[in-house]
Amino acid sequence: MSAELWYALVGVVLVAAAFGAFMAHTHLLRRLLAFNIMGTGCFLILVGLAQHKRAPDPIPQALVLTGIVVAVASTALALILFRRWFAATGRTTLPEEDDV
Amino acid sequence: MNRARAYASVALSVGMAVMLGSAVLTREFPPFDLAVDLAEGIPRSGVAHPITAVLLQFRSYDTLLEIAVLLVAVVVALALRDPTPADESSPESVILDSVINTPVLTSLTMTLLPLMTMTAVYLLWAGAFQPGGAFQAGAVLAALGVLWRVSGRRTGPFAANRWSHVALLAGFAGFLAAATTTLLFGRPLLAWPSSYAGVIIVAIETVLTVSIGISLLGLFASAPAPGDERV
Amino acid sequence: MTEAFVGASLLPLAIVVPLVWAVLALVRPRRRPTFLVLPGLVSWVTICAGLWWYTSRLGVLTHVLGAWPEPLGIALRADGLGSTMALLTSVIGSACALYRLWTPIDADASEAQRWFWPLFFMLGAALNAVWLAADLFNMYVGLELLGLSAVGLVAISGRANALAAALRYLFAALLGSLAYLLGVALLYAAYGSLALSSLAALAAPDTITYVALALITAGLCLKTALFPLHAWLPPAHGVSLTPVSALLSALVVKASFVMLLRIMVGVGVTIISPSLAQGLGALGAGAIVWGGWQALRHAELKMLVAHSTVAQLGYLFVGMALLLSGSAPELAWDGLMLQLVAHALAKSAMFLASGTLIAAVGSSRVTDLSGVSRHMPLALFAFGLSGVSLMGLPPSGGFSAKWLLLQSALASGQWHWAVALIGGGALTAGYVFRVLSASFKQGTGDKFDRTPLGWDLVSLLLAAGAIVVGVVATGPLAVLRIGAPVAGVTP
Repeated sequence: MSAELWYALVGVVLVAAAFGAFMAHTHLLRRLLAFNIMGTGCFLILVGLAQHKRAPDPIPQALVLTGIVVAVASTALALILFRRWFAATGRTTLPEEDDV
Repeated sequence: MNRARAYASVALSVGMAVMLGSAVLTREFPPFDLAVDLAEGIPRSGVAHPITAVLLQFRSYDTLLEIAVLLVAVVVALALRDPTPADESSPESVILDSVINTPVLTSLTMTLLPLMTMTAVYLLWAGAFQPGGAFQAGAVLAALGVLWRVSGRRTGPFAANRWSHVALLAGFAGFLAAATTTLLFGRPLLAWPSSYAGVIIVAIETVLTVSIGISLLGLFASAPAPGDERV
Repeated sequence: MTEAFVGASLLPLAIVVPLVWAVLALVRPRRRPTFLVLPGLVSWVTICAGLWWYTSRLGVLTHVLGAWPEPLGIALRADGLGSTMALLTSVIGSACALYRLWTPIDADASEAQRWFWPLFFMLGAALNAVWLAADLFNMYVGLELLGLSAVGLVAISGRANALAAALRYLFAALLGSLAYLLGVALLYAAYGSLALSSLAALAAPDTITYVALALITAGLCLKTALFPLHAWLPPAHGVSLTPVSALLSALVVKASFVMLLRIMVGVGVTIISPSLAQGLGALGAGAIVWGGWQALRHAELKMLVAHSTVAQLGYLFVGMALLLSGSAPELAWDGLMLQLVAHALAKSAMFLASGTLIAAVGSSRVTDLSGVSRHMPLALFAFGLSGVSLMGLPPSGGFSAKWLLLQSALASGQWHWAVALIGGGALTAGYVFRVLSASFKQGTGDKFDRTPLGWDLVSLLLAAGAIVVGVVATGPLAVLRIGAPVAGVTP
């Protein structure tokens, strides 16, 4: 097993575990953390699997850099919304749909 | 969390692992190999490092949109920070009660200021021929800014003065202006002329570094701290 | 400068021009920068109209970005669907922008609303970026830009429950994009290319492709709010500012659908089984029923319209099922395209008219609309006219779309879709008449605020557009068939 395939498999474990955590928790910060770990796993799969049994390929590496910037922006936005929500209502979970 | 939810989540997790694992392990050799085209294109691209070439030459459109994404996040952050008419008391003075006013942090910040700035400049310059570039350098600058604010040096509300506003926009505006100029010269969008490509890319990366640093700092500075009653 | 060159140059301009205006709007964010916005709208509509014109005359237009050919570089591609949606985006976007410009400045509105314009233009640029994309990762970044701009527009409305709606929307959007990115990662690892055209040629039915397509489908269905993954949509569309709701329902949810369509038809058509397509269609039928039922029950007007969006999106998936697993794909394609266009026009008109009615009455409840028929005839007429198209009554665009889909269903022998299509029309009639009958009731008070006449004009124009597109359908349909990636469909 090459190193790249190992990265990809670790990425698989991260995505699966974080997906379960995302579904299980309702606390918004935990969901956000789970989403970030899923993102990291996804990047590992992108970089690992694409370069498994092939020469080092700069394209997936560049894609992951772009992906990281997008993930940082999204996470920051989610955090800001969540902090505002918490400051306004003191709750850490979203209301049920019928309350809206 | 109730039992049903926990079991369902574990089941979903296992299912996802099986699905992805089978996909990863059964992948066969891909028919395309872009690395060959890439190696041929690098001499014309104006940069030596292949990743920088991908980011600012071959797939520069992705980078343009990615900077737009970061800008949108900052804009929403700034928008949510504006006061509602109900509380016109103090304009945007977000009080960071996470200020750690200790002599250690203060002196450390002063020591780190020139060092981190130099590191950022180095990372930017090094991106031409080894891992580095605008985003990495911008992240270091943003970290410096976060230290500055947390150590208690009140720089005032974020993006209140004209210069920080300009710096926020300059990166994306500069990139967009360069891209539009290629259109005016009758070339496809973002097609840098080969003789100037290296210079253009360095210039764009420099403005982007400053913008990315300010944007990331702005995202940090815009989250209200606990104890901030003005929401 | 040949025609082809001019046509191809319009492609990047369709994205660059809204981006430029977003930057200009950020220099000094103000509530009503009329002199800044109007030139932006005019240039945006002109460029998209020109693009549509050249596509109809020259066929599929391509613009190779950076002069690096695919698959190393990225190309923009304007086929009939892409250029029509770009034109529709500029028209509906301009209508919503005018609605916003004519909104009286409200002393109670939050200051956050002065950031509306940069986010608006970013949304427009992102939409065009998705319509004109031909590269999988490029679509991802465009989709993220779209999602964040849309969430921002929802969050700045300043209402109490706007934050919760924006949070729910953001989490759904992020999860959907991540699933999509995971699928793209697998596809790149399997095929070594991100260009949709090369993937379409190479697609092979192995495990990794199936898994990738499953992930992409799941992610994009979540972003298109397909039942049962629709829970985020009604709060987000119901709580936003009126022009934002119109844009979200008419255009933003369609972006992920068009991406899914392109990928399914390009990469998946030789691989996916007809049963998967039928499954998606079944979920679409579920959406038609569920959305319609909720719209019949909901007390608030904007939530009613938002649930109507959930229902109408179901028609798109029924159309996709007919396209991929029926024996009359040409009819299904035409019906699908017409449904995309007609629903966008009708739904935006309905939201704008609803906003006018709510502003006049001062309440957002359907039951409080009594007496409005005598004082707001234009807004009510716009609502009714858009309802005609949504119900599928002749001679509207909605009718032509559903008629084509019905024909495709009957030609394929798939009678169950006919039931869904006709039943959906009945449910739609139910909630449209619910609003109309509430408006015609005798009112207790006559306290109606005055609303700008421009609001009525804009919603009437959009609703009329939904009707006209059904009457003169042959021209647009011919353009929409250009470059259609379906076997047997000739332009």
